[in-house]
Parts: sequence; C-alpha cells; structure tokens
Amino acid sequence: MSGLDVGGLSVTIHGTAVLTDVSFKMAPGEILGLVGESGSGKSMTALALMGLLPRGAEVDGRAVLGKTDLLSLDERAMCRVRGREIGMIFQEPMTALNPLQTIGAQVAEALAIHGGGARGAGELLARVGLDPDRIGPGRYPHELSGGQRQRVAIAIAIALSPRLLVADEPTTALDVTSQAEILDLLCDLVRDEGMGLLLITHDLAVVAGIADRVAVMQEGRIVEAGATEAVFRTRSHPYTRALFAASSHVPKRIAAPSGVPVLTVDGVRRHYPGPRKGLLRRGAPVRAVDGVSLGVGRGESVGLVGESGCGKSTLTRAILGLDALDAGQVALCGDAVMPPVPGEVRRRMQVVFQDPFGSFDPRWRVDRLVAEPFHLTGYPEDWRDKVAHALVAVGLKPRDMEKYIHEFSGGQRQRIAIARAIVIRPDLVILDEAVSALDVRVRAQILDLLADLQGEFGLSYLFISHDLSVVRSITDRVLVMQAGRIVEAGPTERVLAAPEHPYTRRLVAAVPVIPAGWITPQSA
Amino acid sequence: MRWPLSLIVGLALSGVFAAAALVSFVWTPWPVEGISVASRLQTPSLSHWLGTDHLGRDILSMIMVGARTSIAVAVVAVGVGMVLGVPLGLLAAAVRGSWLDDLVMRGNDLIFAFPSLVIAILITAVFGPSAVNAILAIGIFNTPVFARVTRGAALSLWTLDYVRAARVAGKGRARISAEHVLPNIANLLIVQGTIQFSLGILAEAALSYVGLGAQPPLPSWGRMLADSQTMISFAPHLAVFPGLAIVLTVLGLNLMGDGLRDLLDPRLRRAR
Repeated sequence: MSGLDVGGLSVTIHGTAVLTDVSFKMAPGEILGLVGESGSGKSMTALALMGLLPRGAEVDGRAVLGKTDLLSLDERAMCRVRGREIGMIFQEPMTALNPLQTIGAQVAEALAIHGGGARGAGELLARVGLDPDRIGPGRYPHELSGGQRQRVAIAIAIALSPRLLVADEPTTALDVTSQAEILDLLCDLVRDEGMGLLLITHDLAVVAGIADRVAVMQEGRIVEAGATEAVFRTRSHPYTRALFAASSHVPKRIAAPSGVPVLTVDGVRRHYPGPRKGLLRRGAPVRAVDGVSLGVGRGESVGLVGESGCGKSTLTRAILGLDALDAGQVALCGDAVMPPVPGEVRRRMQVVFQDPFGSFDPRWRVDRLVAEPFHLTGYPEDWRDKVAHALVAVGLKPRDMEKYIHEFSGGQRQRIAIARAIVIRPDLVILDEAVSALDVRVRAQILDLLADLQGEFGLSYLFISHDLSVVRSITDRVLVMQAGRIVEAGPTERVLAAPEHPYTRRLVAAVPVIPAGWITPQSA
Repeated sequence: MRWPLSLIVGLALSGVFAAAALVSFVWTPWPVEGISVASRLQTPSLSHWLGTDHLGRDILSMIMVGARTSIAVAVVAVGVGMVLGVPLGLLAAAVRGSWLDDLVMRGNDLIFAFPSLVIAILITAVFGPSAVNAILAIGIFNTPVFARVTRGAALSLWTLDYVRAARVAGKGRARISAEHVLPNIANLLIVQGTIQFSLGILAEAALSYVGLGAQPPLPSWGRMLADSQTMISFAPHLAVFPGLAIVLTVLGLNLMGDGLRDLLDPRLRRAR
C-alpha cells in the first residue's frame, strides 16, 4: 500500500503536549477531512508530517508515506520529500506567492528544484484552470484575484505529482463562489492524479461536500473518525455532536421590529479616482458604492451580503461617517450623518469589527477600552459601574475590567467588543463580519448573546458579512450587494430559499451544505 | 525574558561613559584647566593614567569632562529632533494623502537632500561656533529622521480596527494620535533615539574637530583629536584615547539600540 499511515503521532512543544496519539490511514486517491476548532491540533498534524514543526518541538510515533517514515528523515532528506512526495497549500493566498516573480516562474521554480516533472509550468497552470489566453504564466500575483492565486499555489503544490497533498484551510480566506470552484478543482485533481488529499478545515459543510472520510480533532486528539456520512449521521462522540449543534445553531430571537426607521441610506455613491493612464490622465473613477439605498427599522436585524470587492466596506465606512460621500445621504433617526459627525448623532451608532485581535489597543486596560465611547457623551459619574454592567451583559465578570486584552481568548474579546458597542446604549450596532473569525461553538454563543441583547435593549443590527449561513440565522431581511449596487433585497428566508437575481442564485448555490438527510436531530 | 547580549554589552559601554560624565561634575583626577607646561606630553603613568597633552593637562580628566559635552550635545540634539519630528510625523500620518502630508514629507526630503555636516558647518559658521549652535544644527538634521520613522509606523497603526473604533467613539485625529498611536510606536522611537544619539555624538565630535563645536577651555573629544594631529608621530596617545572614547561610546549606543529593538520587537522576540 502506498498511502499514508500515521500511528501514535505525539508532539510536545517545550514539554506541553499539543498532539497525543494521533493515528489515521489514507489510501491513494482518498480525501481525508481533518476537522476541529482552533487549537485542536489540525495544523500541527500537517506541520509534523512536513517536518516543519516550530523549534522546541519533540515528535514521537510514525508517519509512513509509501515506504519511508517521514518522522525519521533528517532535514536534507525531508527537503527532497517536500514538494516531490508531499505538496502543501496554505490558507492565505495573498502571502503564499512571491510578489516579485511571475506566476509561471514560481511554478517553474518548484519544477527546477526537484529536477523537472512530467509537465511544464504553462501546462500546470492550465491544469488548475487558469486560461493561458487570459491569465498567462507571465502575470504577476498582484494581477490575480484571491481564488486565482490559490490556483497558482495549487499548481505549485501538484507540480511534481506528489503522492500526498496537504491543504490547510485552503478556502477559508476566499469568497463562497471561489471556494466552491477551488473545492471542485481539488476534488478533480485527486481523482485524476490519484494523490491523497488531507483537507484541514474548521467548516463541517466543506468536509461533508468532498471528503471520503473524516477525522474530528479536539485538544490534540482524534476523538472520532470514519466514513464521512457515517460519522456525520451517528455523531457518537459528544464533541462531534456539540460541533454539529453549533454549526446549525439558530439563536432564539424575540423579534419585535417596530418599523420606525433608525438608519436610512439614500442613493449613496462613493467613487475612487481611477487608475493612472499616463502622467496626467486617469481612467474612469471606480464606483465602489453606486447608488445604494437601504433602511433599518428599530429592533430589526438586516444583513448585507456580498463578496470581497463588492463595496461593503466602503459602504460601512460611509454609514459610520468616517468618509465623505460623493452623493446621497445617510441619516440616523432623521439626523444626517456627514463628517464631521456631531457627537449627538454619532452616539446612536456603534460598531463591532471582525478581528478580535486587532480591535483593541494592547496597552489599555479593559475598563478604559470599554469606556472609550463615553467620549461621545461625556464620562458619567458612575462610568465604572456602567462598564461593569456592560461586561456582565455580555457574560463576563466585573473584575475583568482590571485586565489587559491579551489575557482574553478570541471569543471573549469579541464579547468585550460588543460590551464596548453597547455601553452607551446606541440605537444601531453595525456588525462588520463580527463572527466570521470565530470557531463554530463560540460563534453560536455570540449569536445568542446578540439576540439576547437585541431583546433587552431594543437594538437594531446591520450585519455585514460574506457568510450567508450567519445571516440566515439572525436577520429579518437581507440585502445582496454586487459591484457597488444592491441587486436583491427581501425577507431573509425568501431570498435564500428562492433567490431571484442570478448573482444571488450563484451565491446561494455555492454555499457548501451538509446534506439535509444527514442532520436529522439525534436522540442522543 | 532574557536580555539580548548586545543590549547588555551596549548598556555597559554606554554606562561607563555616562558614569564618567557624571563623576566629572564632582571629581576629576586633575583639574582640566590646570595648565602645567612642565609636565606636558607625558606618556601614561601612575599619576596621569592616560598621560598629558601638549599643555600638560591630564587626558583622563579631559575625556571625562569631554564625555559631558558630547552627551549633553547629543541628548539635547536628539531631544530637539524628537520634539519637532515626532509630532510632524504623527500629523503627516493622521492626514495621510492630504496637502499637509505632502508639505511635511517634501520638507523632510528637502532637508535630507543636503549633506548634514556641510549645513551644520554653515549654521555654525553663520551664527558663530558654540556648543549651542552645534546642538541646533544636529537637532535640525535629526528632525526629518524622526518624522519619517514616526509617519511610517503610525500609518500602519491607522489601518487597525482599534483606531477605527476610536474614530467611531468620536475621537479626533489629534486625540487618537496621542492616545493610541504614540504609545504603540514608542518602542520604535526609543530604538531610533538610541541610534540617533550615537550619530549625534559623532556629529558633535566632527564639528568640534573642525573647531565649530564647544569652544576652549571646555574640553571636547573632537577638539582633542584636532589638537593631537600635529603631534601624532611622537605622542600617539593624544589621539588614541579620545578616538577610543568616541568609538566605544558609539559602538555601545549602537549595540544598545540593536539590543533594545530585539527586546521590544515582538516579531523578533518570537523568532528567538
């Protein structure tokens, strides 16, 4: 058998166990999905196979590929294995390629290092679906979209027809439509070339779509493994059940939209100067937001969905009054939002950002961080009590005020971000990809929290996201944005169940789903 | 956390000279104004550890007092550079892309375009040679360095979510620069300050070497070198010791800057 056989793989870093007794087998041409939350040891398993563990790591066990035990090889021997026997694809296509070399040269480099393969660089790029007439080998990475760059990364990984392809979250950074295409391509390559694919992901639906077998990891151990459908249907381990429950979680909402408008956006346009076409001339301006109108009522949750580059972020900045508009108007409870926004208007809206790690000044304590919006209203006498209340409302403890932000996990930080947003009791909270970076179970908790807070304080939410599944569970209405315009709007259930616009249909079709028959509730 | 070796060595070297400068306020082995032609040009001995110069002054005492001059000039010059340059850099980053940003940065380029020592000589030649004018000249050339470093680091902070959150909290650009941006780039400025400090000591030595820095009878390392050059064939120690003082101080400060960067930069810290 020439597949991969991993047995009793254990890794400790500076004495801390990160992998414990990980064992799995892969046949040639098989797709194994490795699922788990962040910190579960998925990526560490891949790095151990590639011999790329961080310094201070000690490995034990075996990982036999064909006839060689990968763990017993020294660095020189491992260099010959990497690329030739095992190819790897990383999450971030933006940084995986060298910006100074053409894509053809980068594929050719992979070939040259190992003394050439059966195919040339041009042929490989064509194989991964890059049309030589449109995206030739002479292009540079910055000329390509994220999905196209990921294709180049795949071309490099398969250049020498390795026996094993390791893909670590290959589609997490991509839009849903690119994700579907890349998953198709990977599936296709595995079938055609007979290589094994170790697909590492946090997304159960992705695994359900393409993996033959699945292994669920928790805290450095494989807690459950088997054929994908069997594992997904039976869910014998409690952790697997918890993951499933969380990924299809629908928060209970006391929905009471009153219809009184909180936010109205009317014919907003935002243009950027076009690219230079010579010393003095410029191309036509880029219409990042091109005549968008929308409204959010009191107590209502509205989703704004679109892929990267559709103008969501520009629109968000315009609504927050951080950028001037080229045309149109944004109004909050009837008052125009125009920079410089008066504090009296600004205090009615707050925002929660995507990245729980970049949202806080690392040098400030939590009390000062959460209290920052009081700048708009003036610090009341009892501001510390108000901060404590906000922290309690998001499920933290008042004494957490004394800590610094690095003492909290990603989910806790997102709670603190929400506490900061609600501490001055705004009418509208804009959630800019606010749950996209969180693990499924944490995401479910945060969505519950948001639903509770909405009921308690009568908040309105504007959810901005590329992820349709999040929007589905928590919004009343959804707007679909493409190339700066709203192409479809309506009640969430209706839009997602029966999309009318072709773009919406493409989006909905591209979302990976777990087959409905697999997830009938268990009587566990 | 372990301190990098370069930081320890750098701190020790700079510490020796800083200590010598401090001690010179209360005690020197011999009075530096004490001219004694009878004991001139002595080689190092027990009574004069580093020998005496052509006027019979004790070299060790002069180096100690000279350290005072060098450090004072460099400290104030770097201070002037920071006080002017950092706010300019913060301003340019806060109004990125506007005409004000262009004005500040092109003004920087203008100063960078002139060889600094030549302009320093011009300034001291016009306003008269003195320690104060040397400070002013070196300070002016430190300004664009700090402005550019500050702007570069601040620009990357302005894209972070916590700065956006502060804007949503209604804070103005000046307030955000002071509360969020400056504290988070302070590490970088301290490191840059250390390196500019060593360059300041070199510049002061160069200015006093050509007679445009501190004036007699105040001793200064650069002028000690200048005075020694005609006697270098028969009294090399006159040149060697002040030269060593300059080299070791600058080396110490550079090592300290490198070490501080290693200690304060989280990316390097992780790599170690």
